[in-house]
Amino acid sequence: MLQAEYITKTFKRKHGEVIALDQVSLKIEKGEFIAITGPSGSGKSTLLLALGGMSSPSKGAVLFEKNSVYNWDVNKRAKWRASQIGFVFQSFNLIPYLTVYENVGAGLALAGEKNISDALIIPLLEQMKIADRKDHLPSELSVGQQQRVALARALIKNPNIIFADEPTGNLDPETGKEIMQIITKQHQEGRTVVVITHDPQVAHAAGRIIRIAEGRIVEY
Amino acid sequence: MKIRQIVIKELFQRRNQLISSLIAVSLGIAVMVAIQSITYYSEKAVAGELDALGANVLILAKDATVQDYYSADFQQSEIPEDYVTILAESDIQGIDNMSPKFSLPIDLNGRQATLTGILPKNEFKSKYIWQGALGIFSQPEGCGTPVNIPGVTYAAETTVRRQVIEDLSPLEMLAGADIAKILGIAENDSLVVLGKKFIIIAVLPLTGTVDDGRLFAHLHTVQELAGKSDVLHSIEIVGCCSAISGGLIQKINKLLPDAKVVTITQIVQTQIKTNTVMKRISIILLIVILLVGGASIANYMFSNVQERQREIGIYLALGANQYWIIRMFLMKALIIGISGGIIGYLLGSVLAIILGPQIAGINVLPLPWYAVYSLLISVIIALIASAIPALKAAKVDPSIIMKEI
Ligand SMILES: Nc1ncnc2c1ncn2[C@@H]1O[C@H](COP(=O)(O)OP(=O)(O)OP(=O)(O)O)[C@@H](O)[C@H]1O
Ligand SMILES: [Mg+2]
Repeated sequence: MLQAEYITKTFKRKHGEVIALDQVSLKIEKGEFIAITGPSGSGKSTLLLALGGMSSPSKGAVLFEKNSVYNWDVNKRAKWRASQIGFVFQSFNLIPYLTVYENVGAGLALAGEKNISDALIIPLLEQMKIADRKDHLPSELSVGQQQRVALARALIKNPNIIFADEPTGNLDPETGKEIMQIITKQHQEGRTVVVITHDPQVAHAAGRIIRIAEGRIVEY
Repeated sequence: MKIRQIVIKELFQRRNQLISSLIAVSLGIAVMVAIQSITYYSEKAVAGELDALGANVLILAKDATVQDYYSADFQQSEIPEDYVTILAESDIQGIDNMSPKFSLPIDLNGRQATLTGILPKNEFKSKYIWQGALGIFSQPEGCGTPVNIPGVTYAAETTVRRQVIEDLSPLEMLAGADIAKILGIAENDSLVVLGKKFIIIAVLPLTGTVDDGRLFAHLHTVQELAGKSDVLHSIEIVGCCSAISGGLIQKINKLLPDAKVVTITQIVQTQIKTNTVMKRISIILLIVILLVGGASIANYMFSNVQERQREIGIYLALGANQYWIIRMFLMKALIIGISGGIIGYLLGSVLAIILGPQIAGINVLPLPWYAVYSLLISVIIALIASAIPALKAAKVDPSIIMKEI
């Protein structure tokens, strides 16, 4: 249902071009749990951004249910991203001046929800075990708690697809495991999950492992 | 979480970086409001002075100066009394009031004073067929700007000055407020001047003009005391404003080619000049504010966009579109503009209230509509200065969110 068709992404640099993705084709079925691995600089993050409607490929197309995502105008693409996709990052990417509650609320607001209420947010914060920290700023939280907030922010809008770029990369093994449990649970609840990881154990949890090297898929 | 709340949160969390550009804008607006407020009241003061002076056209001898008129030091600069007849019988339109005067320096027990001869109304009536209002104290009606200067009330004296002296017998006298005080004279007292005993029929209220220091008697009595007849030193004329701008001066000049015709405006010209200078300065300041304030905000906004690249990427990933990003930065600019306008207006008004009496010798009150101008200017500067940074923000490459910190 989400598909990359021969996508190529090149970046212009001072000294020539960098080919981050080289004619990558990939089909992601609804409800799949996919792990993407590969060496640093191989194009994993670039692929995830392209699939998530964040960065237009130089060539090729990204199709969502047969519609070319980059043929939509920015508005429609933003709305699609807001409603369908939850991003989780290695460096959490919380808004530093917003509290836990507000970070999650911002995720909900940008997904088009007009009435931001405790009833929508608090249960999820409880589920993520950060309800008692709801009025704290991200800088006042441990890294594990920060990633839980990021997860809550991604999940609050109930997205169909979750893209996680090395979500455990900055966490100790124990915390990483907890985070992966939450992500795995999302898959079990029927969501499509794509996780970039260097960790073989994390990759193992996935139904399918895709290996990328030098901008190409080398192994399914 | 509304976009407005997000903007305000960001502003407060990072307020330190904002302060310098807010100061730049506020100070600029403040200086402008201060100058404009002082100029405004100083202009009112000029208008008030014009009003208090009464006559707006003076007819003098060719070699007399306005200064002579003030000091009543005319010596041989005389004009024939016939001028009054010529003017009264002419077909010139727009003369509302006319008062011929002859002044004589006198010595009152070693004290220098001025005795000014005036013509009461009944003399005009019997002598001329002139229909205009006549009086010794001319007061423009309908053309003087209504004046309202804080701390100064013109009401009382204005009404008195409008009063026309109906009748004045040869040995009656009017005394200006100051001279009456100095000489210690009151109504119904008598005063001997140059061997003649006059009865003070009235002490005039304070007007703030040279009239306060003078004694007034019948024109012909004063002429007789001076050993002259049928001569005047000046004719004060109240012309209708539209008539003055419509060439009244030139018409009088034509009619009385040997006289000097001046408008009172020339007397207060220095003050008007000061105001013009103030106005120019404030225009230059406006440009400087536009540049400095704008540059300061633009600089701040550019660095703000630079440091928030990751944040912009996050908002995009959460589902914001480019317009939302632009809106976020413009809303921030709007808040800066509104704050700068309000702070600037308040500061400027306080400055004007404090400095007005010191710089221009006038009392200044805050002018509420300047608040609107301040806000408008400040907001427009902030928005224009932020337009390019906001567009730049919308073009931020969101791939930064995948990079490690
Ligand atoms: N915005 C960008 N501008 C220029 N070059 C970029 C940009 N983003 C990625 N690249 C380049 O594209 C290539 C792929 O980068 P990408 O971040 O996708 O790799 P990655 O597989 O995610 O690596 P890592 O495991 O270190 O995160 C790299 O050579 C990188 O330098
Ligand atoms: Mg990466």
